[in-house]
Amino acid sequence: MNRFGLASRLLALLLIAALAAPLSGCWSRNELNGINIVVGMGVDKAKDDGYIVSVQIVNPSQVTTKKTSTSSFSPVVTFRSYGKTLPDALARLTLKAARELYLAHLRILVIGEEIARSGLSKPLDFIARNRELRTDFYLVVAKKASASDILDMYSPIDPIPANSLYTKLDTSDDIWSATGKVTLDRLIRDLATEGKGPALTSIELLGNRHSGEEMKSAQNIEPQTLLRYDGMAAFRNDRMVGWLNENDVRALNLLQNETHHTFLTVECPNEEGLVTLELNQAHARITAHRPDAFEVELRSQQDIADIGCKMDVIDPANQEKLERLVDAKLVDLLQRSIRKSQKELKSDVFGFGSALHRQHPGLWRRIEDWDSIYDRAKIDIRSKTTIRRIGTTFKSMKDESRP
Amino acid sequence: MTKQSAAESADSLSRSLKVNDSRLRDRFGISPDLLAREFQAELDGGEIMRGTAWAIDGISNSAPLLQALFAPDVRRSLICGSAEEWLDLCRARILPEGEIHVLGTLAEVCSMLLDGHTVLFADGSPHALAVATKDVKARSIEEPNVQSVVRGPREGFTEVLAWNIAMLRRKIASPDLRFEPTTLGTVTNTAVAIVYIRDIVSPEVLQEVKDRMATIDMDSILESNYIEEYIQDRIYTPFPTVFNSERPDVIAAGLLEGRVAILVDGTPFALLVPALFSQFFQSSEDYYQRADFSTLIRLLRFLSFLLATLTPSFYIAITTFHQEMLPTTLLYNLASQREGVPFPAFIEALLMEVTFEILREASVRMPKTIGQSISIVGTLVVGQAAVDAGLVSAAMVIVVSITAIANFVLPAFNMGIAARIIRFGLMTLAASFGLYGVFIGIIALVLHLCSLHSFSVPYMAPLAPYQRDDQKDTLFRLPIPWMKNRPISLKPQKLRRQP
Repeated sequence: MNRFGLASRLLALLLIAALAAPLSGCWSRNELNGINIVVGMGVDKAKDDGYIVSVQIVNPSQVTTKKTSTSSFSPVVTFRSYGKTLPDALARLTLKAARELYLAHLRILVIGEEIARSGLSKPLDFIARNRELRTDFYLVVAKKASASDILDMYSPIDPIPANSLYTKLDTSDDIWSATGKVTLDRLIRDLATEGKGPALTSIELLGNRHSGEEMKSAQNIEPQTLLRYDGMAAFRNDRMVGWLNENDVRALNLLQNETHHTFLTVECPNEEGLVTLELNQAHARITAHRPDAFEVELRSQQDIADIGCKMDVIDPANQEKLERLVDAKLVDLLQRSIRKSQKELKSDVFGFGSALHRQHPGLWRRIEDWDSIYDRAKIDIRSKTTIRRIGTTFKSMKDESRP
Repeated sequence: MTKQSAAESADSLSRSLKVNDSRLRDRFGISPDLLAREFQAELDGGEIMRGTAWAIDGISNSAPLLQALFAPDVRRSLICGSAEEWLDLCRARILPEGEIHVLGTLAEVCSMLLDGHTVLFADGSPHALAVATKDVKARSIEEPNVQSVVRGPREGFTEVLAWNIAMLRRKIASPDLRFEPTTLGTVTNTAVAIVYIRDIVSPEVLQEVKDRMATIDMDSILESNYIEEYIQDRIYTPFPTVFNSERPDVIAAGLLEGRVAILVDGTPFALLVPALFSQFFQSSEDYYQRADFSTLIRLLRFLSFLLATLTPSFYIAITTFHQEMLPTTLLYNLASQREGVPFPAFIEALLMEVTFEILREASVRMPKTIGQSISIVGTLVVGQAAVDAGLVSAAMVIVVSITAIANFVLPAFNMGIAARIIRFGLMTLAASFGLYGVFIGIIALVLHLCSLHSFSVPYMAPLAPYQRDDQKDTLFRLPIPWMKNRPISLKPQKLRRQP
């Protein structure tokens, strides 16, 4: 009797559980073939106050290795739509795209130059607020092109252009450190930091725009059109104020301790020719003395990568000479870029203000307009380079080869 | 008292051979295997005494006995005054066989006959003589084919209780190894033995086993599972709380740790209690291979258990709810495979899992000669054809295969069954609530596991409650010289293994 009671109670419980399961309606369930995976998104300014949003969507069956060779469909599709706000535009995109847009795998967000110049905060709110978006995609600014143009381009080798842009930036940053990579969380942090203007990687389009939109352009050995990263866009608060060139970005990366690896070229100490050094490690320390006086101390370790003149690198005197040359070069590099940011851009992208804020919070509180003080701040730069390795040969090939 | 003696007298043997013979014959009906050999013996003064030798064909071999009895010199030496005396003489002098019982009732005669004895009736005596002439026709000792090992003893239990007892005795040559015989099953009268080592076993557990065995009220015990289901701690659980093995070394090791074994005549599978969760992940070979290797293999088994229970539900949850958790390239890959698959991932998984279970069940029950063809058809249907036809995605085939293979890694078949049952529940949760549901399921599972006991020992011991010393032989298997103590969780009388 008792056992029967337990069994029937258990059965009732099971039935209730079974009936409850479909009640959930599988909320937020999406089969993989019911979503459009958005990998690239572009935001441009429309003629009025609204936005034109373009999305690059992956066509998965064209991406996987076994099918690409036989297919004639494009691996990605780009749709664009107008909207008063970003979510508005994205919602309107469903009129064009077949399935629900899935944003979590966004790799790259391209921001049109116009939007960048008119202020990032407005369009960024949706991006930061949306729960589906991760924060690990890169933000770039389209230079002399609209964001949707950038997303319309085919990419060689990698069938997904947005993916190609992502890896290109990653690799370049690792090896060359002349392009900053900025993810959403980093941008938000920079925007929120007092005394530091954000900077975003910029991208430009090389070659014939229209041929790049056709798939057959991928059949050329030498690509007719290319997307190239080129420096960064400097911002004051959330508005873009100008471009940082390659050297400026290298200076920026050095000052922010984000240089992992790069190359430097200096003149030979004794005769004509160039020596290339491979920078492996660099650490910069900014010390704020007064609101208008800073000191930068840069320590770096370098290996000799290439010698284009006769030089005995074993000789410590020569090494020291080389080190001094490198120091001079680095100081010059930093000085020029800092001066540019002070005089031309009038934006503290290097974060001297935030160093002051951290080191002397009391002084910082009394400052009303940091940008006007930054203009005339005196920044003292010292560099200390150590050459660590000279490579696997002692003499340069120029020494070895007979005339 | 009088009633009892009256019943006894009704059952007790008569002095008349004719009466006894006919009553016995009535009792068994016309069984072709009941053999009767009538004989005559000479008494003092040339008087002839008639007698009958009864035996059951197939389970006893009475030929040597009869040969001995009828040898001319024996016949001569047996000449005596009465039937009673004749039986006594037989018992004392002649019969070379080991065990001899003097029987007074028909019931005793029946049970002795059924146990393989030869029963001698002599006309004029109200007693009968039962001589052990048991001759079992059984499978010889073979290598166990369910729990096989690379290194280790190759003998497995057989269906014969006496041999199984002998195998254990040979492994543990100690007078403290005790066998307590009982008979269970009102019709089958199956011989069962409770086995333990007197000075190691926990008295508490032993008493518990005896108490629970006493509750068994069944007409038949055909396999040890009949007992297992009577004595297990809880019916409503997928997890086994009684361990079984057909390997004498496993049972011997269990006894030496302080467990109690139950051997059942008629099956090679012996029971071992208390059974702990971690025990089902241990194989006897863990102790026959090097400790480092055994530890790795053990961890692999736990991993396999997790894989076998969780893989399909994780796959369903992640591909239908949490696509953001997949690496981007993997997502393209999976999405391209799902292109054109008509069912939701859950149905797809269910389809494949059920198909696999069908195949597996078929291959177990199939005659061995046809088994080959089933596996070929199965591989083609489950693998290639289903994917080519676009009914399921290739990734799902991989998920189901890894689940299936991981299931076979578990050394204990019944724990594998638990994993299979749980898997389906978790899949349903994954399909309706995503990872949230899966984790609710896992939490419920852990709570359930922690609530289980096996013969008063917590099922999750020594993990919960945590016993530091027992960790030497739970997830890891430390070198044998380091394991100085028996598992504390089992509460053995003597804790030290090594002096």
